[in-house]
Amino acid sequence: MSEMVISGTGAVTPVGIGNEQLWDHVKNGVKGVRKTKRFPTLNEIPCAEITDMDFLESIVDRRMRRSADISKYASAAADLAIKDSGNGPFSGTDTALIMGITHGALNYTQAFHASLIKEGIDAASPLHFSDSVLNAPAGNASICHGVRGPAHTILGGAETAVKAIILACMMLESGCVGKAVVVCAEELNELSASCYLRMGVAGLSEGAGAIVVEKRGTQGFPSHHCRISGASSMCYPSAPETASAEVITRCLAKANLKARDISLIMTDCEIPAGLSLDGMPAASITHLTGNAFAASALWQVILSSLMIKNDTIPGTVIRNGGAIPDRIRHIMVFTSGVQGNAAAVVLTRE
Amino acid sequence: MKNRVLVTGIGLVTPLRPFAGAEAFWDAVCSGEDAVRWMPPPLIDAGRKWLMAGIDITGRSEHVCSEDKILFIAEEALRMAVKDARLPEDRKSGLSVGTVLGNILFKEKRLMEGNPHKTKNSFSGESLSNINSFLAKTFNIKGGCITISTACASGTDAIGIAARKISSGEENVIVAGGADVLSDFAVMGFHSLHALTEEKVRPFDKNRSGLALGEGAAFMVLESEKHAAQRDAKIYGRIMGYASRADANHLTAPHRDGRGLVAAMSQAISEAGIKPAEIDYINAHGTGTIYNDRMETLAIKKVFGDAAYSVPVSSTKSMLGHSFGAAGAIETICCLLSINHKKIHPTINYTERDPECDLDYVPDIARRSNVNTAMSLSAGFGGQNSVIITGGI
Repeated sequence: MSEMVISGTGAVTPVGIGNEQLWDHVKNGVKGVRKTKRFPTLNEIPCAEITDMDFLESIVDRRMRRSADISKYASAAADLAIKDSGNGPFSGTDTALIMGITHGALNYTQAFHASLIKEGIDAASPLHFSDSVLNAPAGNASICHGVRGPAHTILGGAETAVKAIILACMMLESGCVGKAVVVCAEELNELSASCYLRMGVAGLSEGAGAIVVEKRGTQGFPSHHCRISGASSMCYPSAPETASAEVITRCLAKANLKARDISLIMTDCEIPAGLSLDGMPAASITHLTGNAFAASALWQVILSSLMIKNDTIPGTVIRNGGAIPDRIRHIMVFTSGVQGNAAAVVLTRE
Repeated sequence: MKNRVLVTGIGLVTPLRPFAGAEAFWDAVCSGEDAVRWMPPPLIDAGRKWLMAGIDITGRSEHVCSEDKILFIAEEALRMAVKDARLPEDRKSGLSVGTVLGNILFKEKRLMEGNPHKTKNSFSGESLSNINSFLAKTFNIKGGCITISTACASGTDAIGIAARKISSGEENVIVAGGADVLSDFAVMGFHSLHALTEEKVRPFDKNRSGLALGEGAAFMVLESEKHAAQRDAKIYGRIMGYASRADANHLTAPHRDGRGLVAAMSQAISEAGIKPAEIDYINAHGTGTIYNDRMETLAIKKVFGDAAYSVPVSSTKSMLGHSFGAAGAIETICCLLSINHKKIHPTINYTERDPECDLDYVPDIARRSNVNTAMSLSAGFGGQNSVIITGGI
């Protein structure tokens, strides 16, 4: 894995679209979460929405104009990452597209069932069906960009972003593809928003993130963002704390690092005790972008790569009082979920 | 594959003799039993029936509601596979699950009742990775777990990705497979696409008119050769090659020339280190739709050349219907059973030859054949094409 690099990033977030806007807005602490009346049945709730739909319409393939929002976000983020990598073409069988999603195109699923109930069995829309299928965002993105290698969709919570990165690295290491685009996407939906509100989780979000992963030395130009020096994921529902501790330990071992080598941990989760990570500076952009689950975790990865590239940690993302190092060497992105899933990835400056 | 990946346990629950084990299933498919019946969709009162292949779980568990069905059959299939492999109780293994729709029935019930806002308790069961988490918790699994969704190729990709992980040394043991159940979403969705047959499922037949939906779960235990040897495991065969390729053409229709399937077959054959003529049997995707069967036949001819006419091709879906994410896993198990029993199950309901589908489809009667290497083909929405090659030891 030490040979894998992130050569391009693309973000479609409620606080900024594209690397420059995201970076500027995060530095300035621009918040995407605000009260919205988007869902009539839910009154006013705090959510982070993508508002620049004109941008999406201009960047996304015309064939996708009726696609679900999640597919548009995914394709637009992939487009930005591909352009950022500058290492085309991405069409053909030598590129993989690995998608991570948490809820999928729920708005179309809801519309499909609504038409069944209201208008009967012959009224259901084929578009609402095909675009609701869980791998539709990956399928649409592969069509949009001509990607003809593996186009996989991984399902799950925030840890799915790291699992997608691990799968991309595995494919690159096996030699079955030469490049991989990792995308995570989510769209806001009434069903999930109402249920999360009941669970006490507010500030849901939407959008997508994408990164281009390649083997070091294969990219056509030298200025990649950072190296992926280690990654690990685990599911252990019987002992979630063990899963968290083990993925961090394994991730550090794969990166050949000690805990003290880590400059910053990007996470929304509790950092497991007893791993010499006490006092480590911790950061997150979720309070700015809102929570889009797998997409949020990939936004953390994207921001980490931008921090390494710019050698700056914006003060707006710091969560604790940990001492910020003079120079950023290694950033760990760590996620853990309620079902015993945990995952971590370390990004390293070259 | 860099290092050998062995299959040491199999388990499946299908509409044919669902809880009787793999050998009973094999007897049923080799006898050409047809599981497809006229059935209503699970929830909606549609006032009519469709041809489907369902699994009756009545009386199996008092706790089982229709929404739980996927968890129940997945648990049963996985338990069968683990028991068959005689894995120790305290196991550290990975889990790789393929599903197209997952536990959509949970969400669907809420949607069909017109009551979208419900309690958090039902919502946690709707998590798309809930099947994986449920199985991991039930079987006390500790390892890398992944839920993969590549439409109707999900089961194939779940196994293929697991095999890659073992081959690369990332894991020693992974339980991999797929599960899906009938839902209104699937029935009405395929109905809206005019893809469902009103007659019999007749893959590759001139009069084929569409697919029938099905349901099921199938899992296999994959192990590194070293790990299997250390515990003297029973071995069904090995995963020799795997590849997945996208059409990048259309969300629901296959590429007319089968370009993605051709690329996937070629890559898998290359990875297996064999020539096309060395494949003894092809388990086709074989849905029974006009476009899929024509495309699949064309793709096989492109890869195999003249050898295409001498390799037997059969469709498990002619008997079980299309069980989405479970299909690829069930069909990979069929390939392994063909290798072990030296027998190929038939394509049933095949009565009239289509000039555009002119291969040997093993019509209606099972056939003895010295199968040492078999290939399973899967395709799905999003332009997915996945291929697994299995071989004997």
